[in-house]
Amino acid sequence: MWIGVLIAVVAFGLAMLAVANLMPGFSFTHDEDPANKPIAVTQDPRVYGGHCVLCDAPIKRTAASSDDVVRELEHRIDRDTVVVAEWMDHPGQDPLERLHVVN
Amino acid sequence: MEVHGSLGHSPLFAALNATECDELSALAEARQVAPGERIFRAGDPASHLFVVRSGLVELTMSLRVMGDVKDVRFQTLGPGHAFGWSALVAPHRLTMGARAAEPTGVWCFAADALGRLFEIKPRIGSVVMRNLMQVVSQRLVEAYALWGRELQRHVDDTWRSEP
Repeated sequence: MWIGVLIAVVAFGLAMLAVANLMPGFSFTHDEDPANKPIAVTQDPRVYGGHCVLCDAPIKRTAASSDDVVRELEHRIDRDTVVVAEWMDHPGQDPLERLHVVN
Repeated sequence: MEVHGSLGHSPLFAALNATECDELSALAEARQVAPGERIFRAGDPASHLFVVRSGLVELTMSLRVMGDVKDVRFQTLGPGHAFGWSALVAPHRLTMGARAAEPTGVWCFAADALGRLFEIKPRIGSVVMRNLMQVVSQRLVEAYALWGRELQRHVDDTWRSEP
């Protein structure tokens, strides 16, 4: 009977070891899955460097007031509107995709 | 009151003859707006169509910025341009706000009076509504294009392909 108990304990221990050995492989596969990767946020200085990405005008990322934010929003809308108006004037020369190439 | 000339220059009334412009002029009410004065706000019931007579009108959208609700200028309209066209289209609810950027004169048309004229004079109604479709279509294309660029920017700023 003791031999049976001993065999059972050894088998249980081996089973635990096998599961423990599988875990790193499973974790590796899990981390490699693109769906589980953290989102890569751009570090492009043009985006966060305090200048307008469209015309390079200085932008205050830390706005002093809500009026500052509104001024910068309106500036951005104005710049984009110019691009859209240019495209609408020459739809044949500029395909629609050109509109979405932003810098 | 020299309404006729102003209306003739408005894209909304293009292709109307002089007699038809006169009939529209009879419905026009002149209004002067001070700089910064709000003409209407988004969400209000739309009861009047407006045409800029002189000066500049800014179309605005409301955003909450740093705890304040602010009107952000989306578009600036000069003489001849129509706005407040939601008055002619169900559900007759204004989609944007409007304010004067400088001393500005506008022509106001009551939507119900215009509707009655369109019933009596179907050609005027047909021309105005066809022109209105062009105005709305252009606004829609502009809005889609601006929105598309902003989405593209969001994609570029957030996700980046691995080098």
